[in-house]
Parts: sequence; structure tokens; C-alpha cells
Amino acid sequence: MAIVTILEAFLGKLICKEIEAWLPQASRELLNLAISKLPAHERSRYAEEWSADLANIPGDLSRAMFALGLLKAAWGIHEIEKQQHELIRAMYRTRGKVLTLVLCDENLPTSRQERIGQLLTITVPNLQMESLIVKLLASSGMKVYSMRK
Amino acid sequence: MSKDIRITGPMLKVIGQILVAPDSGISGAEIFKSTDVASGTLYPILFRLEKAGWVSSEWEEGDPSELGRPRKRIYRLTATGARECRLAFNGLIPNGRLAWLS
Repeated sequence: MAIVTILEAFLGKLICKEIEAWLPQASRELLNLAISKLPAHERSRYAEEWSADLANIPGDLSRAMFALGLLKAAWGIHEIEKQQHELIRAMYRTRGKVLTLVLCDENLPTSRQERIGQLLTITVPNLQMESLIVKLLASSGMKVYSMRK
Repeated sequence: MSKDIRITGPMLKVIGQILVAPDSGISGAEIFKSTDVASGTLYPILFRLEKAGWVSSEWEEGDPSELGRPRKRIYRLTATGARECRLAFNGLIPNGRLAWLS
């Protein structure tokens, strides 16, 4: 019985040491995996930001848990980007000098709407656009932006 | 514009922490350590806030080779963010003011 107890204690200690030795590498691997799951244009920024933040977390186990969470974060960021790209697929029509842009979703941030307007002035250079009217499908009102070229 | 962002409990905690250091700013790790918001939730929130223009971020000063480590990304609430927070929270707070915004 005493031998079993000693053996258990020895093995327990050995396993703990093994886990302790592997945790830093596991954190790095998880970090790299998370970065690879990000949209390509966001990878270099988050590689540096998350490396710095990971190094700032005390304790190997906490660091590993933080790195594991980054996988979910990468998926979340990817999903947000995907949603925004879908929203950009907007319909538009011209009437004289006014461009009416009909957006697909009311959740599109105003800054994004303005960027769409700016993009259209570049991609449709012949359009003498004076204002951009944004109509959100799920809202009753319209937003008007002056876009003089 | 407040409806551009759906304010959730974790988001309130994140904004609250950013407001603690309005001038110096705060990194993701510091927000993580001072709230119970998991990293998997924290960074998508920061990403969403930044895309909506509520929060801005920039690298800490210094070169990584001089610092001997990767640079931290520092988050700050923008003037738009502060205004939108007030608008968004006005309906939640009886007198229209938040202690940490006043």
C-alpha cells in the first residue's frame, strides 16, 4: 500500500512537471493557430498585439487559457468581417446627380456607410454625385451625406 | 449611431475599463486582467468598437527591438465613442449620467 502511495505521488509530480513544461509551448501553438484563423489582412497586427498581451498574462495555465480563448476571438473577428463584407453588397441606382444607396441591413455602422460612398465616388468616376442618400431597408428614415467631388 | 452597436454586459465592462484610463489608454491584456471578460469575447468586442469608431487603437511607443518584446496595442475611447456611450446609456440611467463618465 505504501509503495502504491509513493508511486502515485511520484507519478503525480512527474505529470505536473510534464504539463508545466509543455504549457508555454502549447500557448504559443494556440496563439499561432488563432492567428492563422484570422482574415489575412489582420494577421500581422494581431500577431504582435496578442503576443504582447499573452506575455503580459501571469502564470502558465492562465496564459494557456488566454491563448485558447484567442481561437474563439479569431473566429469572432472573422465572422464580424464576413458580415460586413456581405453588407457591402448593396444595391444602388442613380437619378441625376443624386445617388441612392440601399443598404441590406440597418446594423451597418455609419462610418462604413460613408466609406461605401467614398468607394463609389472612386469606382464610378463619371458620376457627378452631389449627395448620397442611404436608405436602410429595416428603417423608416433616410440618411443624407454630402459627397461633392 | 448608438444602434450600430448592440451593447452587452461584457461590452459595458470593456468600455468601463477603457474609461478608467482615458489619456494613457489600456491594452487588451490589462482589460482581461481587470474584468472577467474572456479573451475569446474581449477581442471581438474591441474589434467591433473600433470598426464602429467608438474606440481607437495605436501601438505603444518604442521599437520592439529596443523594448525586447512585441509592442502592446493601446485602446482609447474616441470623442464619438464617449458621445455615443452617453446617448446609449441615457435610457438606462435615471438621471442620464454615468458615474464613470462624469
